[in-house]
Amino acid sequence: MKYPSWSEVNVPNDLVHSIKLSGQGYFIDSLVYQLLFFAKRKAVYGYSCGHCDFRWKPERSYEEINSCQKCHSPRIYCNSIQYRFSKQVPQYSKICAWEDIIAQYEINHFTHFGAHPKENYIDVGWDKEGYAYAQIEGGERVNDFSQRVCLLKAFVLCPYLWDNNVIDMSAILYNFNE
Amino acid sequence: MNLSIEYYKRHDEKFIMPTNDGLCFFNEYKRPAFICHTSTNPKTHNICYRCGHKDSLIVLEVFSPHRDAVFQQITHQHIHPDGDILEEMLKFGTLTPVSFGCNEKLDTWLWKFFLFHNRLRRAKSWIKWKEEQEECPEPLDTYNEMTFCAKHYPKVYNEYYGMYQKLISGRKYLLYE
Repeated sequence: MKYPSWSEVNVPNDLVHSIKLSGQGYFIDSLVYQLLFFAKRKAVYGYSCGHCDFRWKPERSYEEINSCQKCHSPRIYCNSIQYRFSKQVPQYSKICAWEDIIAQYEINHFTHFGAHPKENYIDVGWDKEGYAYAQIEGGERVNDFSQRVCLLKAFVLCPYLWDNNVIDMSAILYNFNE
Repeated sequence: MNLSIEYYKRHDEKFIMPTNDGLCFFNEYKRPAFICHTSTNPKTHNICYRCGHKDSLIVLEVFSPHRDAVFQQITHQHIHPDGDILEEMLKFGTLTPVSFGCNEKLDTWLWKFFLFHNRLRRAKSWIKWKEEQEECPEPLDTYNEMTFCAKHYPKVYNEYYGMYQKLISGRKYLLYE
């Protein structure tokens, strides 16, 4: 099975190297959300009424707001924007939740290539120096002190996962600094 | 479904209809030059708080890149809903509207729009880094620049992302190929 390279999916090598060196944090989690579970960041607007002080958040971000939902007054203000992920991502901080990540990865592999990955497509272990290493077939080899973070990075650093229309590179690089 | 985009997919017209919360992108000699934003008057005001215009027409605002800020507003005016945005924009020069086939082209265009007059282009480390880079096709070249900026100039990148987030929410004019 032929896996794409980083240049074919338009991902800079500098970014790949930075992900390998990054520590545990929101950046890695957001990559897992976007690449594995296809959860996009969306803006959620908060509106308030200047007449009755009723506050609400419309379900659709492109919905046109003309008046208050309670008193129909035209004096409305948009006062807050929050960026959330569009889907509920299963909690994978516990060991037993790895099944969700592995299952989702296999679904993505089948969707992209039309075939399931090989039986031993995850290579995990410990180096002589005490670092954990992990490599998914077709992806990068990653080293880290924590095996959990190492595995997360290995799942994220598979080039074919970056080849989809859901990826918002500007948002990924913004999360890099968070 | 966005009706204006569906209309342009089926008709080859040389005019652009104004809509509420629309963004239209223009090149000048193949360089990202202007962003045109259209919107209706806020319902909380009877007259435009910016210019005092009383008729409830469509507000047209044009932005261009600026050296000291993310962008600057060139004009704020009101046009009739039956008007033609392309005709209004031709007053600023020989402009061509841009259509995007995918989000990557939009990212590339917005980054070049932001970077054109930005002081980052004159930073010594940026110039030195650009000289060391090999040429590669778009959008990889743009993503390389964005990654370098996010790592070494996070404040500048945050300014770009702030502009990007404000503009992306109003995308009715993205004339997809």
